[in-house]
Amino acid sequence: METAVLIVLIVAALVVVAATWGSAAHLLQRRLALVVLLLAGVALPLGASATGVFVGVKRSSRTSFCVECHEMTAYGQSLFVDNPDALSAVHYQKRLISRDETCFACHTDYAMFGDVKAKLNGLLHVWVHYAGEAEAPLKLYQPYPNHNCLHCHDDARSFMEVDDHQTELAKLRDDTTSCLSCHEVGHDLAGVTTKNFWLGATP
Amino acid sequence: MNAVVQKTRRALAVVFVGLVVELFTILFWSPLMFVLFASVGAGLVALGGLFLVVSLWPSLRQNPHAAVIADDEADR
Ligand code: HEC
Ligand code: HEC
Ligand code: HEC
Repeated sequence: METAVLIVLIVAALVVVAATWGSAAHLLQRRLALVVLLLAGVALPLGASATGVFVGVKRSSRTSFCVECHEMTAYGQSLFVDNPDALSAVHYQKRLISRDETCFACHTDYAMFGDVKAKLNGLLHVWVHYAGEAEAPLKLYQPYPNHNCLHCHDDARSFMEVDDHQTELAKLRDDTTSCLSCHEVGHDLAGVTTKNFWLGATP
Repeated sequence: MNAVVQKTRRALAVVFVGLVVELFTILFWSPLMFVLFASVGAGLVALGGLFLVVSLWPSLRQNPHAAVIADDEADR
């Protein structure tokens, strides 16, 4: 649907630009027509391009986009592993976070420009995918920040009522104790290798 | 051909090529194609737009009643 709209928009811009090219000499005779030239040659094409970039960036948040590259296949499958301790699997299977944007929900920084940073890193990863080879094993640029978990969990009743959280709260908030020190498994890749999948969902 | 007309057409041609690149990348969408859309396609559109504004800039600042090129130049 959005692809169709985008195609129509760009084809329309193409036709208008071509028509403007053809009548450039005549348009340039009328001063008012300069406005037409600017609308047809600058505003419309730029508008169509901006829409395309917007749609593309939006799409790049989708789970299906993330697992399109073979490097991410195992991580995509890890959403289906039958392991209640695996954070990605639990959040996905219980539908605690959006299914459409599963990966992005945990792998963007919830801070000003956090999305921009995540997208720029993503751009780099697309480059690595096509131009080289990612270094195995994959790892994050920095230890997973508690802030991203706390974006959803801080102050939540279920979180606050766990005793271990209460005693560690200050340290959890300033990131000196990682959530992962107790909730250890981000992705159960061993479960993917042994095909230990929850049968209610299909990888 | 009048120099302004020539510059205008050149700018429009750059925009056109940019849009063709965009159309192509949409039809064969993939992460790489999106990168090409945003860099090459949108880049050319922006560049052509800039050329166009630059070529029209002197005319835009002129006396509002003056035509950019004389009537008899249009068909040459
Ligand atoms: C519930 C949150 C959550 C979701 C959803 C999630 N991840 Fe992760 N991911 C993590 C955490 C936490 C780590 C860090 C694990 C560690 O450091 O041990 C991680 C690490 C990673 C890493 C780095 C390698 C590693 O094991 O440390 C990759 C790559 C990755 N995730 C990809 C994905 C992809 C692709 C998706 C979507 C299919 C996804 N993640 C969904 C939480 C999540
Ligand atoms: C996009 C929001 C979001 C993010 C990010 C997120 N969670 Fe959750 N998580 C939820 C929701 C919603 C629930 C269900 C409600 C609850 O248990 O508080 C949940 C549940 C949980 C549970 C209980 C799962 C169960 O067994 O039912 C744990 C443990 C958990 N999250 C840990 C984490 C950790 C650790 C991180 C960071 C790596 C994280 N979450 C990131 C939204 C999120
Ligand atoms: C000191 C160990 C420890 C640390 C660190 C820790 N947790 Fe927990 N967490 C627990 C324990 C223990 C439970 C309870 C597990 C159970 O009841 O099965 C729990 C449960 C949870 C639950 C589920 C609560 C519920 O009952 O629905 C969430 C959500 C959660 N943790 C989020 C987090 C987040 C987010 C962080 C980091 C900010 C974090 N935890 C850090 C030990 C820890």
